[in-house]
Amino acid sequence: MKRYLKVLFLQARATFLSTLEYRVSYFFRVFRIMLSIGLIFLTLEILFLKTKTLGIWNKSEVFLIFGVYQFVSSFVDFFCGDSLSEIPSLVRQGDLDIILLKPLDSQFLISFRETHPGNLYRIFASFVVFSYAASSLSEAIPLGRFLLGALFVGAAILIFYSLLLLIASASFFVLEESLSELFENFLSVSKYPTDIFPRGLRILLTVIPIVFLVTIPSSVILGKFLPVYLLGFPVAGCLFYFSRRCFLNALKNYTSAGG
Amino acid sequence: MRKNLKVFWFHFKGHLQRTFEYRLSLVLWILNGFIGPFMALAVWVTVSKEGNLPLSGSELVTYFLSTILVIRLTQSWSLESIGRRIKSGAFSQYLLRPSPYFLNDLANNLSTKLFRLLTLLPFFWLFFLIFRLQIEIELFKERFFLFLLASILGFLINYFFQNAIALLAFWTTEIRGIYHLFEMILGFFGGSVIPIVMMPHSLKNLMIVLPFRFLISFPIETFLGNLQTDIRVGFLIGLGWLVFSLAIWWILFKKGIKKYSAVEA
Repeated sequence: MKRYLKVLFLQARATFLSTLEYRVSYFFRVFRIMLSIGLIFLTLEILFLKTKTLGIWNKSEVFLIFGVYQFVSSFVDFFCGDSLSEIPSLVRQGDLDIILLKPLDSQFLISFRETHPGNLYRIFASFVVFSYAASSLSEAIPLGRFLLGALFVGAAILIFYSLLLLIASASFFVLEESLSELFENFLSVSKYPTDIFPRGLRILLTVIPIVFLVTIPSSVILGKFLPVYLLGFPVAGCLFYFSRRCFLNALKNYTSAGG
Repeated sequence: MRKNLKVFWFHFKGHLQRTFEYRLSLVLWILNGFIGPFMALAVWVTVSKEGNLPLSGSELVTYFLSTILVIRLTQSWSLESIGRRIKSGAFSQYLLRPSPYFLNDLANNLSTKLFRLLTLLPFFWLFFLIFRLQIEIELFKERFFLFLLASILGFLINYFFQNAIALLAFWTTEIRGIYHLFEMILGFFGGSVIPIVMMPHSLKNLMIVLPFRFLISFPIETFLGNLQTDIRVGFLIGLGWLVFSLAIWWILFKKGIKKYSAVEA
């Protein structure tokens, strides 16, 4: 365990140092992160000029949902970066072989190959959005509810990672970067509460457990807890186990680019 | 000129055959284009149940379905290909050819577009059935031609802006980042998430003068006939941006090739 933490730290430091080499590009990226959050903020503001509620959610609640989305997605991005979506190019260039030879768990090494330290700003920004939304709610969030919500956010992070891993396993067979791109685009649907979508899509978002990513943790924080939400924890566990199985299976079937 | 057209045609045919090779990426491309518009549509339809919007439910559906098509019509893939060629040094062989360097790339763009749009059309027929839309598509009427003209204008603006950004690869490694910035602002001011009629007054005026509207909103406005400005003013602003993008592209090209000393020389 200690060894894994050390490797994780070293990999993070290596990417951090290499980003520091390109300072202009580093500040540029920070600027883009801020701008993208600002633009979504502005979009939501414009939306709420026309309406008081989005489905069953009021303005502060939608902002809180957006904050939770930012946190979950940037947290996973912070640790995984583009590591999982870049598997096709790893395979094509033969770099995967070197990773597989290393005496640590391959899933670990591949998943956290390239961390994105710049996402620390996004995580920080998500806290700002969250506290802004929480302070504009009509009542303060009690600590107990917040902590329960945090547990659900933890499960959401595990689910998010497992879904990415599942697609990464599929990309071994397809070798097409646009597959991950499509899926990440699809996951971004979770930044809106799932109940605004038509029924068919809502069912789909529950089966592919996207509803657990943002909508349910936010509902818990906002005091709309339902016992059925507790399913999130076994779902997270099972999905993690299943995605790991799939990933290892895909690795087993992998024969080097030249093979 | 005639020689260049012939060269263009050869590239066009070659690239067209290559698009047949990558069928899976075609399917992924189609699916990917649906996600954003459907998401925006769901949000606005939910809002329209609450307040009274300037667009009705079926108008919202028509608008966002049209964005799927128009985004694809004005899309360009030049930034990736040309930027990569400059960085890897493969750009040299295009400079040495006796025809303009972008002929190959333009042929690639247009052939891919043609093939992919043809595969997209059946989906539209399906959507119109599902949503029971009643738009009379007046083919070969004035409005349809204006729509085509606006889309071509949008594509050309996008194409030359992207080419200009790609040529920045002579000086910087940041072209992807610059393009992300462009895309982000396009997402906001282009009309793919917020239709222009929903914009508050000051932002609407900004949207009218910026180039991003011509990539998405303006062609749809001409097609649906709910233009926010006089159509001639719209086309004039668009033409202005086209000239501007052409000028920047030309200056960067002239300055760039002087600076260029192929990476793998």
